[in-house]
Amino acid sequence: MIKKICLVLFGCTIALFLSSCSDNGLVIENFIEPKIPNKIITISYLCPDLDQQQIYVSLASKIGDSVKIGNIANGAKVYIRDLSKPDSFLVNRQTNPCVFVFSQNEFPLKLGATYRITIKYNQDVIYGETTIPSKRANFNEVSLTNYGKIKYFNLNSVYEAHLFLSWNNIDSTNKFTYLYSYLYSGGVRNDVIPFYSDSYTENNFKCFTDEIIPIFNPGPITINLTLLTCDHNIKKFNVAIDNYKYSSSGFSLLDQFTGVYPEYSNVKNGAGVITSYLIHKETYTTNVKL
Amino acid sequence: MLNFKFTYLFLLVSVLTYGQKIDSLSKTTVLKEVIVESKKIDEVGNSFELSQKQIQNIPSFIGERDFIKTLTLLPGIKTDNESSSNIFIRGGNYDQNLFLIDNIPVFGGNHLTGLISPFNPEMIESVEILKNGFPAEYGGRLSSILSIRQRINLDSSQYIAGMGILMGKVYVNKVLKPQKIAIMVAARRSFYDLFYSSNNNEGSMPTLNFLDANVKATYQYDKNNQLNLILFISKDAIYNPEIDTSYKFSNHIKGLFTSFSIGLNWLKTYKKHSLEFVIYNSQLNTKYENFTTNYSEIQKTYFGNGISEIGLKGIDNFKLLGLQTKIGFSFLNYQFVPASFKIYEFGSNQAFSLEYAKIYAQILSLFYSAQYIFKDKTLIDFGARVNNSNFKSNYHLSFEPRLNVKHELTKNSNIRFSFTQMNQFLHLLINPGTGINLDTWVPSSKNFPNEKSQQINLGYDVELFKNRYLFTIDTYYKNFKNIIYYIDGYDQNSVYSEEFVRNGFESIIDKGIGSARGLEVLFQKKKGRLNGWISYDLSWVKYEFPQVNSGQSFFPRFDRRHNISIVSSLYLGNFWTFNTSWVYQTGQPFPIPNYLFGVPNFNYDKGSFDISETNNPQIGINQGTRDSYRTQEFHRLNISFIKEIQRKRVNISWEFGLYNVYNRKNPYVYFYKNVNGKFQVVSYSILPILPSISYRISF
Repeated sequence: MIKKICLVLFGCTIALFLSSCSDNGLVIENFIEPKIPNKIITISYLCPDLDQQQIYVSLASKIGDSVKIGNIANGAKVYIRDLSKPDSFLVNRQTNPCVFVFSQNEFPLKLGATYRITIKYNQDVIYGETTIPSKRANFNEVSLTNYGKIKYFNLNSVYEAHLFLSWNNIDSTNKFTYLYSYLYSGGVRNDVIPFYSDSYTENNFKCFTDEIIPIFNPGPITINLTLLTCDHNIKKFNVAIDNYKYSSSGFSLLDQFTGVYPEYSNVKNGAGVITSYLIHKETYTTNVKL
Repeated sequence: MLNFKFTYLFLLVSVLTYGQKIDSLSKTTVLKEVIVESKKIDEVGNSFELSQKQIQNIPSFIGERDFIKTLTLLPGIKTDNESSSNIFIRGGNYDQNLFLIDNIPVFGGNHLTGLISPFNPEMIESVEILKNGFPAEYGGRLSSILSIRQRINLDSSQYIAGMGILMGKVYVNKVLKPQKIAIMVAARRSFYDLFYSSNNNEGSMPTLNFLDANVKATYQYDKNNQLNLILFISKDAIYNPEIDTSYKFSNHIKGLFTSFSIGLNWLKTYKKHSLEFVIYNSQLNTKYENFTTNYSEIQKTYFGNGISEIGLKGIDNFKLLGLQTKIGFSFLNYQFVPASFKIYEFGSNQAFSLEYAKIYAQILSLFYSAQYIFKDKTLIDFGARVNNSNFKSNYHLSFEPRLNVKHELTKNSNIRFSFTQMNQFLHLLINPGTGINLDTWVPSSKNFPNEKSQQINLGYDVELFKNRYLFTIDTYYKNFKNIIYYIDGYDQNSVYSEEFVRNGFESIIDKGIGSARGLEVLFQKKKGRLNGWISYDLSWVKYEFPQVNSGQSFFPRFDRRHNISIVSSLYLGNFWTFNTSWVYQTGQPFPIPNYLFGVPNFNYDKGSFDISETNNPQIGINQGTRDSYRTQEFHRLNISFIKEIQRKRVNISWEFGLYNVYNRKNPYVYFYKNVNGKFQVVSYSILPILPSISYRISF
């Protein structure tokens, strides 16, 4: 009798086991109901060195919605004001439903001035401020040295060079930050290294960077250098955004090892960034001998 | 993803485990009383003791007993996520638990990324757990003491062997000289690697293996002298190959996690004294190897971290002025290697090597405790512990008063009060996310001094109906100081970064404060055909760090408001026993973004936005607070039937188990997933209804 009971239970166990082997055990479950209604986003980089200024305005997405650029905030009104003056300027030209545009003729920007951008959408009002740097930094040293032969993966051998750039810090209180880019051509490949590379501060007055660039063909090289002197909000915002980069396969933010990243915004009641920068351009030419 | 797949399939495979054990007892079929018995760690009634039999009578986790999982059925003890073997006690993180095997501290670790604890149930005689009212002889952790007594028999030998698909087991108790010398060896090893080939292509499952062994050798020189040698080793290995033959590319990751302890314990009794000396070395080491090949070239990366603790402890137990007194000391020497790297780049024979300098720390502790009994009604246990810790010639003196009072209200009921102050000289960097942990121990320092806690506990217990029932209720308040946490934006990935090695662990962590309070109720039926317990606890845990959660206090991930457990063992007659366990826990706090937005690329030269790439933009996130959401509540019912058959000298037992009877899809982990451009939070459940069967024969 006991043996029979055991055999029956054994059979039931195996049957249950087989049924549990289906995919039902592995569940993907949509779980979150969003708590907060859509927020207004604005991103603005003001630059007195350019004639045309753009202000990006859109709506945020909730969890579960598509995250895309151009989530239109219909009927949004955009104002800009020099805080030393009483009147605001209504930015009413648009190149796109999300991009508001004004020119220096319509509203001139001045070095060292503080500007407030205000956006009104339905009953919501968001605003943020930026102070344009009072002067622009210039390169005081550019050099290309220390050639050496290296091998990248299974490609042919290439040579590398160290590009050294230095410039003076225009303000030791760290209210400003610097971004640079370089595009080089003439005997080497055309390549654009994007902004956001870190620079190092040797002391409060001197900044420098040391980049390694590949050189495929020796000979004369022309490097077009750009140095931006920026309101520090540019770096803070972009570093935060870089942290949020995610892959299409997911598993980024709540991944096994991942923590919580802080967000950054200087926009009150909304999100995004309002910031400003100045441009300095320079061309550097040298002859690469191997 | 691979881990989830692997874990799930691994568990299913393990259900096939067909455990067969053969007990060969040379003289009797019943274990005699254990002669070598560590003292009880608590004499005031604050502890809970689990016996081997209790562990056996709780439904197993897919055929495998695990006392850590049994402990989580007690009030005040919580687990992280389903099947995790990390436990959180009264608001303390899992590094705040002191695990002792016969009084030797061990860095436990776990098996299979947390599914199974490294403590082989075969070697356990009993486990005692203390959550408050710590005696003065114990220190170094804030939240609990878990003391395991290993079983060894000096009278008769015993052999147990078991084999299954999941693992093989062996337990040997060999008497070399009756009443004098015996040795016990208990070991387990998984066999998953034998059944699963590791030369798989991308997308295949990684291989995980584990091994653990416990050795205890006892030499009873005479009735006043006993020497014990204790050895514990736990190893886990992970191997994750990805081979893409079309591109002649491969990536091999190997991980090895080792916990090792060895110790010598000498018990000496005099007429009026009993002495105990312990010397030991405990270690925890992690090693990773990553080989990437591209055509004929290879890039090799090695990463490792570890901690080693060498300890010497001495205790003298005697009576002085009518007080049962204990005095003693402990000296601990630590060596830490928070991170070390060695990288061989493609085509290079020269290694880029970077090793975090070894860190050394010493702690000398002296303690005193005494027990006074007032009018046979009130027991007062008081004492203190003084510690002097040294880290880089930075000496820090700390004082820990301890007080336990038990007053007998009636013959069957007591009230208890305790106050304890504790220091912890080590910090564990713990993943703030929701998944698997990589333990990195670091020492206290000038900027990150000893973690401290103070705890007050008030309890009442009463035995009812001829001592068949026990009802206890405890309420407590506990505060923490100098606890650590990763700064927002940093996590365990940061430990692998060059920044961590160059700038030191202090650059990515923050210190803060915390508090825990709660009410715990336990109703236990100790005797009769039906026995078991019902437990409930209500608790709050809050942490606060200047650089975490914008400086606002938050509920950490192991804050669960309500916890209920019901455990029963019913003897049905005719040698059938029906066992159940049901558990309910409130969900864990965790952060979900309030909202997200796409960030268009900006051309600085032209001053214009590029809004043409609308489908896969960079994303900005408003993270919200760390405790903005809670996971779904957790509940699960496990049952098992055990049939025992006794025929002459042969004992047979069958166990039919069912894990997660009503197939509750408890979330194991949460993550974000981009589903057709929609950013969603999804959860994985890995443990559906799972039957198990085991068979045991002894003779």
